[in-house]
Amino acid sequence: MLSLLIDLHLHTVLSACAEVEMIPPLIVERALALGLGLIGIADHNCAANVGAVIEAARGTGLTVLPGMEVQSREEVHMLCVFDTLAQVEAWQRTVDDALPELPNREDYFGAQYVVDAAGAHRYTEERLLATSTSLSVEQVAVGVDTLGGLCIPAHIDRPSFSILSNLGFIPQGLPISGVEITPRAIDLTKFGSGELAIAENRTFPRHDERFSSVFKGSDRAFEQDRTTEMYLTSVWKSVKYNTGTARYGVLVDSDAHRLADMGAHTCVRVAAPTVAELGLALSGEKGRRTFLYLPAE
Amino acid sequence: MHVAHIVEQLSLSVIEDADLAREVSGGYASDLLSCVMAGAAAGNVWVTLQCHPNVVAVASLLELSAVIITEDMVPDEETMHKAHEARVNLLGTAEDTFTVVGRLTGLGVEGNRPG
Repeated sequence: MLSLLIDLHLHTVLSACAEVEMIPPLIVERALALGLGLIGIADHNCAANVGAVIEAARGTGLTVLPGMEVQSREEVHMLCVFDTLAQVEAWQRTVDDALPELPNREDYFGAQYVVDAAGAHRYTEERLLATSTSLSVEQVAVGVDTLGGLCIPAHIDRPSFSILSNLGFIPQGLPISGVEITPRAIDLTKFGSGELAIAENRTFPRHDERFSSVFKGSDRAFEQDRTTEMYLTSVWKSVKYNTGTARYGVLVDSDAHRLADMGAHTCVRVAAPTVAELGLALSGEKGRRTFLYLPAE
Repeated sequence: MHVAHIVEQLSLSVIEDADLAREVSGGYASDLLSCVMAGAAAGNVWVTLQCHPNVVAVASLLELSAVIITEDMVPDEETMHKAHEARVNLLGTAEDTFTVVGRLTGLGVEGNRPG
């Protein structure tokens, strides 16, 4: 088994709201400096920069999974993660058909740059990408699942563009492997600072079982996990109600739009850096696990 | 005031007729279901352009008198099926939320007092 620090939700310069520093070589350099073993590229409704980041990471040992952050017609952001470029390209065709033909307003939203592995400008995407597709959350989750990808409702603790804010609770039967929360969701005042320290030397797994985030196990395990419960309570006042009886794995991603915001908050124990293994880690099945690490400050 | 009176006055289409004789206690408008869960009161008519199946669950949970879906948004089949099962009045209109709320206010339907 491998222990990998992951950050599945990174934006590049293709996202109008991202800083121009979010180019492939700098993203890879920062990911390696953080000790990340696996990153996911998730620009709004478009995967045009994914190939360049994969190329920039070649030979470094860093795994880059292709993906995107799709905005459903309910204005819910859904992380879509795949193993291969062919899969994400197939998904792109569905998303393109569901995206309205609106021009981007660079002066208002910012520019959407498609770049090469060195970060050099190739072309500027003229369609407005950060807007709602006509796909429902169900269509996004089922579409991604059917292609063999991993669909994860993004930043569910946020008051906008999240499944909990927009739909009130997670619809039953949605084929998702887990949910994503932001590092900001963590209420540090509820924990002693000593319990929060991230292992300085980055040797994993060095974890406290109380921080385990396997919510899909038995109810008993869930109830016993007092710290986890407090943690969830701080994430969303009524998350237990909102998620009903289903148990979802939870991961923390940075949703970084600039290099300084990238982070290493989630560690997975997996057999390989693949979507299938991440799915098992989020479910806590077959010895795969997900551990959350809280900010070191 | 009954739901039927609002249907007539605003020329709403009736997508699901559960019971149009329900009394309307007031009104609430939002497309964020988390806000509706916190802010709408029993008997309220809810104005939204969201038409996900969760709309029905929220309306049922809060015992809202009716949901008015604006801008000719077409509910999913699942939404209509659930509305039928949960006996939720689903109404539709081509007008936008702003216009519908204005007309409801004109009829004397009031919002909930904060706190």
